Amino acid sequence: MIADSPRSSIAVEFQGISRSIGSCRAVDGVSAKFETGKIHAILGENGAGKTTLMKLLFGLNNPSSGSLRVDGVDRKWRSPADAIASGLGMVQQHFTLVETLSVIDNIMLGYEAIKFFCILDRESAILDLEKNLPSKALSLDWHRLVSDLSVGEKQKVEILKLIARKSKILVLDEPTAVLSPQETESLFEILKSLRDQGKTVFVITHKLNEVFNHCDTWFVLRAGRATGSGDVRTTNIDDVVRAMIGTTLAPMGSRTVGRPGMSMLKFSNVSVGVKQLRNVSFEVRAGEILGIAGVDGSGQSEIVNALLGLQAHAGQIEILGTQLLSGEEIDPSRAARILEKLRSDGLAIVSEDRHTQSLWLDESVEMNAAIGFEVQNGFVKRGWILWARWRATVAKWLQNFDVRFLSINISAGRLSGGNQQKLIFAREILSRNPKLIVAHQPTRGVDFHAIRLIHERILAARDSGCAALIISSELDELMILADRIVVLCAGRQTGEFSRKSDSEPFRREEIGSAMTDAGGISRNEIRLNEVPS
Amino acid sequence: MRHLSSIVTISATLFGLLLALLFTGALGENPFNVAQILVMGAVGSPTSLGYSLFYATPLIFTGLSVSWALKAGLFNIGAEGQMTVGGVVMAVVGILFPDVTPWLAWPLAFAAGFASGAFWGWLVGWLKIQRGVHEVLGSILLNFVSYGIAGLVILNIFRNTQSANPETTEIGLGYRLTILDWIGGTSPLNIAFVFALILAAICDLIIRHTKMGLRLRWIGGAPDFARRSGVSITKESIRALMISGGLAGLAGASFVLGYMHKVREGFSSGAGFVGIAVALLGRTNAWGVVGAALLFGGLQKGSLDLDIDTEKISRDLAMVIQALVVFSVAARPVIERPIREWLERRETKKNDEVSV
Repeated sequence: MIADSPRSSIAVEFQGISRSIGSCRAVDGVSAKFETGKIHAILGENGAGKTTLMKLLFGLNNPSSGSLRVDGVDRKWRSPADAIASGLGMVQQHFTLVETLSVIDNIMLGYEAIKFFCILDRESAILDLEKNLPSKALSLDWHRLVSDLSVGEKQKVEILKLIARKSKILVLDEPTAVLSPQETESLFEILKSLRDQGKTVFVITHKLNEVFNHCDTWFVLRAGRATGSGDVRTTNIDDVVRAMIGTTLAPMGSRTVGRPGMSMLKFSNVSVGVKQLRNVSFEVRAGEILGIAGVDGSGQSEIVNALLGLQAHAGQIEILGTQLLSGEEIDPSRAARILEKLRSDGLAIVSEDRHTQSLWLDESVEMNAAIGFEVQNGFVKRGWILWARWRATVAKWLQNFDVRFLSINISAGRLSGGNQQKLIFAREILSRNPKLIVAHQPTRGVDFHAIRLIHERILAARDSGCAALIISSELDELMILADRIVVLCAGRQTGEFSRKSDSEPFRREEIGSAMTDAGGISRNEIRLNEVPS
Repeated sequence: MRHLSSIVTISATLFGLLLALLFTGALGENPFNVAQILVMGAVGSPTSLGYSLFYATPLIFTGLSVSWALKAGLFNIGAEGQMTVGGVVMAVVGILFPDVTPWLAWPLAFAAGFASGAFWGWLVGWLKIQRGVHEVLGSILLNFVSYGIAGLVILNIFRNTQSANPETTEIGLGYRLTILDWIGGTSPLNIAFVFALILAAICDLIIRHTKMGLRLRWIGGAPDFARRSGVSITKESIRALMISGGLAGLAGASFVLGYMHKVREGFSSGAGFVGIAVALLGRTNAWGVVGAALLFGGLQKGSLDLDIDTEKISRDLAMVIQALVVFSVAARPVIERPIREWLERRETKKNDEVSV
């Protein structure tokens, strides 16, 4: 299709763009060009800055530095409305639809066609829309209520909104997270028809098979920086994986291989949900560290939830000699009782989202450093809390883990990410002698020094006979820490590797390919898809 | 910095009072005159002061009740019903066993009030956990059930046939609470007010300095974190609602013991609902609740005098003033946020200079 005005072949260009949130640089000096009329995949782990970058493009955030060019023109958005007027459109991860209105009313909302002063002109809106429809697949019953639609259909309504507003550049934030495989296929057919109309489409995702089967170019962000990009047809999947998992961590020097002892955690054929985790089996023994590798969303959260008793599982889980109850449903108070016992027996937990799952942000550093373990440490006498003892003990723990704060009364929410994470580790490790550490993303969004300290402490705990399960999407981290690595892909166990020599503990390529296969993608399949349609 | 929110709350309260005075000015009264009558009516004489404290007493109990649940992140708006149940059950005990000696009667009566209110609170928790009924819905609907039960007990079982009012016969003499007459004047102020203050102190201690209080605040402040640390949200929530209900039950019991000595239909007269405003104004802090309850009690007494001493102002003004105070306090974040941000900016700047 021919564009109606002469325009540059570069739809979007970032020039050294940065965005800081507090002391953290969510997007850090990104420069990139994206061509018009293509489907661009924006890849990266959670928190890598994908969404922030797209928000910069869309005017939801302003860049701290750097600049943005759209269709060859320098742009500085004052508001998202500004960006929309210039032909950009975004489909958020969570739909922004009015459930009680019909499809066409949702599409018209904010851009209503009017006849006779105040009557909505639905007919002309429908005609206008049908004229611009890129593919039959997008056609819906315009008068149905949105609340009656399936998730896939609701997403179509979101896309139709952008078509009705004549958006030339469309951004979709993780559009397939909520879709079935069939719906995903049909979504990409629609996106391809939009591309063939000359529109530019950005898809934020972390599913590699979608990138290789449907997109034209790929672009990877990691910790806010651009770490790779290219044309899908000329790219090997390993290059993408390498850009996503990176090689930025410096090795820590030599380390001993663990001497495994008694079994501390054992998963036997564990499945969670419909397909989130399927028949996973592994064992962690005292004095060893097991790493779980895999792209985010491959079933890592389900492993943690199942062992904490928050999500029902099939199969057998044994922690610290306790057999967890499996079954369809969970009795929350019973699960809590088991978990409380496990915690006092020596289970240390570092959850993925430290802000909501491992900290009480409004409370003081002092409170956060011991809450949950006040009884074991003798801070409670006949129900009353002995604050003096609490404070003195906790101060030692925090010093031991080099947690830096202005005052112990300051709220935990005001610490930096690194200090928050050190605080959590100090609590989990020093409040008692843990026998098993379960850490999910132990160093995400944490500064270099804190990473080093946390790694040292995990290894030290292992050397004193503690078992550890480290779940991380940073392969480098697992290479440093793990004695063995289990790889997950789309909820399935796709490989297990043991540590070899210090110079090359694990074969990066082997792990990388295990991280991507089984998701319905293998190298042969990619080559098949390279044939242009 | 630490006292910022209290300072802002107090200023917001004063601002609301000022607005109310301007409002009376607009009605054609002299605002200075109105202010004088209001203040003198509330605290001007021993009798006035006694009445203000008397009105504040049930509000302290219900305010503590609502605050307790709010600490756990639960909104118990059923204090009115729990108070009704507490008062009725306590009265039934007092009517059935009229001859108990005072030293046994008081604990017995308060225990009955607390236990029955706690049962009503437990029902809210049970409905929430077992049947998925949101606590706001459950607690407000149980209010109506409690009115029904109260009506049944008052009119059909223990009705005083000598009286023209819908009320029960009187409880035993031994149950009557001591009137605090050392304050002077002729108010019905009784020792329940002192009990309320002691209860506020106990609540404050439990919430801040015990494991139980810590758990209560933890499930309200960081529920995901608490759940992942092995705290049973179900158990803690039900316990929080039981204690909250029990505190409201004490409001009903103390009112019947100290003043009415019998139960009349609708005796709670909205104290449970005003308790919500008291809890919010007091920022769920026990001493804040006491302060807010005293303010509301004083306003109630003062505006009664306004009704008598002015031409254009009726006692409904008290409601208007209370509403204006609640509105200005609710708008507190609008004032507080910029001040807090400014202070934080100044603090970080100072720290930067130190660390350089």
